[in-house]
Amino acid sequence: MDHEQQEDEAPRSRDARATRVALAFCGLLAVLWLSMGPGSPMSRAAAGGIGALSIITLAWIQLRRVGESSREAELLARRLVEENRELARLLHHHEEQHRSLEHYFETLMEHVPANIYFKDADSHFLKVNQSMAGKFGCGHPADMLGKTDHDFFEAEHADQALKDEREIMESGRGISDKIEHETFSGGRETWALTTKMPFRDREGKIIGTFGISSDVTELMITRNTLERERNMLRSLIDSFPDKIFVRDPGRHYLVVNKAMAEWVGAESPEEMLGKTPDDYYPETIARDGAREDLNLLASGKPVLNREWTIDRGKGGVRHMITTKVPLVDVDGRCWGIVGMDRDVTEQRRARAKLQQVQKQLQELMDNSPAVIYLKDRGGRYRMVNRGFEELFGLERDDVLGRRDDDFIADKEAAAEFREHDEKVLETGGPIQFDQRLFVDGEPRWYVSVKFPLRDVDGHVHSVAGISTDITDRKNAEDAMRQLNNDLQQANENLQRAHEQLIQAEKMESIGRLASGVAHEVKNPLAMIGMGLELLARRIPETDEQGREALERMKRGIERAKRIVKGLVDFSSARQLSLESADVNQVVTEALSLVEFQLRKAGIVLKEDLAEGLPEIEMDTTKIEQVLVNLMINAMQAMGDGGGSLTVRTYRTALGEMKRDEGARTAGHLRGGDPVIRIEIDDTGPGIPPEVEKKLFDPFFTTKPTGMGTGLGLSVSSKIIGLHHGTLELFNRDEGGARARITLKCPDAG
Amino acid sequence: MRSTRILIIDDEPDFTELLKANLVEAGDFLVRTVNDSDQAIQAAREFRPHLCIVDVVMPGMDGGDLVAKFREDPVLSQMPVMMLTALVEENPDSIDGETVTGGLAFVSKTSNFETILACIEKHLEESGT
Repeated sequence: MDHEQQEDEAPRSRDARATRVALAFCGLLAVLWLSMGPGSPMSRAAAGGIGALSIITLAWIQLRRVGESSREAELLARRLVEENRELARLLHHHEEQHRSLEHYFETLMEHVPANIYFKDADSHFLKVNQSMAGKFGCGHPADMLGKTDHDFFEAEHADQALKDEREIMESGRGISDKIEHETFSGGRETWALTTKMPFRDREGKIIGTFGISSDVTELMITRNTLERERNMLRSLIDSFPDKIFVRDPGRHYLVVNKAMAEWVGAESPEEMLGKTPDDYYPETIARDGAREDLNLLASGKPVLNREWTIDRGKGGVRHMITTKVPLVDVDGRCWGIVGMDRDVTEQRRARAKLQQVQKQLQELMDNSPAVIYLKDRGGRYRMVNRGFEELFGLERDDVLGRRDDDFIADKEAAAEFREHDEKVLETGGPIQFDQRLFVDGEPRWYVSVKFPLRDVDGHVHSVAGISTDITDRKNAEDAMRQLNNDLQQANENLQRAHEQLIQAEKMESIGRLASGVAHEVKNPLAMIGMGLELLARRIPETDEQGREALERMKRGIERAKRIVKGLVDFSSARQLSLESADVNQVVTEALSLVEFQLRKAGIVLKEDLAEGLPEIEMDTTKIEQVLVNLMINAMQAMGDGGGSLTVRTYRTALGEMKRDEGARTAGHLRGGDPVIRIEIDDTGPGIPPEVEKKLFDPFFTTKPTGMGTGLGLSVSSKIIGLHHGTLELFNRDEGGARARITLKCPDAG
Repeated sequence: MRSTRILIIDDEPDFTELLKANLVEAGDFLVRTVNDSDQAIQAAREFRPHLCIVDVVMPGMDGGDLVAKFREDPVLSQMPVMMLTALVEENPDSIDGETVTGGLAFVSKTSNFETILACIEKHLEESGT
């Protein structure tokens, strides 16, 4: 063999080179075939090519060697056959290997859940696997071939992918584990974790890109959700004014919120991570905290609202409360502590202030003599003062939280209280009222004010009441009122006395005057009387006319004498000579005196005298005198025009009287008294308003000179007054005037 | 039979004359009138009346003073006197309308002549004239 080998060295090496070239070419074809996939026309062409090339090569080698040596040729032929056989076997083996690789590749492409693709230099899909086709909404991978990302995605993502691929192709560097947010045409959104690499041919030339990506949409959604939640939690704890922290058992901060960082003077929460309270707190506080943490970790019992104080220098002493809770993992092991520090300084101050204000309020209330209380909307007492306790004889603890019904025995009063409360709640306004309550069986008067109390939003939450005992004041007021009444009465009496005094003085002077006048008048009257007497004897009985004239003169004298007598009566205020008499009889007698004049004046007389009137005590002469006087007045008021004069008597009960009417006379008339009335109505023009007040003044007259003395009504009034009666003159509604005498009537009868 | 003497003392001449005339016509009276009270005592001493009728209200000496003077006068002290004055009204409580006070009878001047006459006769009777 060594010999042969030496002999054949040159041609053999030449042949070997040719063979290698041929094999290389075959290999290339095989690779091509493989890469094209089994069964494709290209691979079949490659296979055919391999065989043909082998034969041509061998034939060519054979022909070259024929000329050199037949043995050599024979040997060579044998070796060639051997080699050819070996080659065929090798080829077969390669083919098997290819087929197997192809199977692996296809299996991988078919079943791997990742998306795999190959793209050409223009980013057209060359090959995609089933998963990718599915994700892209294509039934078969072949449907995607030749298409680009723009056929599937919105421009934004497709452009970015294209850009990435160009970069990869330019730089030759792949992109690993890129998370891509993909928006498909039609809006579907997915996330993919993608690795993209340059696709090179065997010579290392970049001919495209390929990539493998996993759909991480679910993951991303979960991650985003978690991210959001984390942010939310972070924002939440950062927005807490309380200082929140999480520490590991070694007291290293794992989480702190902004408030905590600010509180300890750290730049940021992050700065504190890994540090311990020793880095931020005074030693004693840090030590106490450490001891507490140890206990907590050992016992697992949380610390709730532990109070502590810290001197913050310029910030003053702050009151804090701390709550710490162990953090336990699934195995029940304590892996840390979550805690919260709260600055309650302001709260405490506010509370202290509130307590102080409440105390002040209570003291103010307690020192008021009034009864003060506060009830909620449900009528439960929330605050009462000492005055309240004393009024009801109860301690405030027995009252607070209870309703009126619960402790006030007088249910009616309790209901009334509640009614007032409801009125305040309903109207939202204050009410004031007087109230009588029995205290130790004694009635006491209270003036009460109830008003609503509102919260800052204006809602009524309570009813407050202040009741002031005004019994003394009320009594004083009553006394004062009584006094005032008395005073007023006294004043009126005084006024009346004054008037009466004036009247009396007037009367006195009038009386003096009257008696003087009377005396002076009586003398000539006496003279005339004497003269008449003398003359009467001179006139014979037969001289009727003379006798009649005499009679008239005598009557005139009588009348004059009566007037003078009246004057004297008036001035002397003589005692009455009382006798029981029938009013109607007196009236009739008076009428008989004026009958003639009535007839003469053409006045119709109407009598309306009640029957069965009881006799009353009176001075008949004087009453008769009054009646005549009034009748003459009535006649004169009617003048010459005629008219009617109505005289009426009746019995009645007196109605309400003017308060001063006869008030100062013993036995004067009072409302309800049984009385007898004598009324004289005329149909004249009535009493002019301007003379009404002066009617009873002595010497006041409306009659023409010589017609009246002006004494009639004043004397009449005086006479009726002496009878404890009244004389009134007033206009009748239907016209004309009415004179009314009211005389007291004995009860019986 | 001698007439009954009546002295009338009143400052009103018209009245005294009329009363006198009536009295004279009514009965057997001798009447003398005095209209100035200051002359009354002198007149009474001279006239020696059975009854003296005296007015009360008179200028100068009034009736009251005059009667007092009569009572002091030894001659006139027992002379019957009847006051006739406008100061009083007829007394409704007495039958003759007299008012007797201080031992003196007062008769109203405005009484009817009959009344006055009755009173005069009563007093004359009482004095036994």
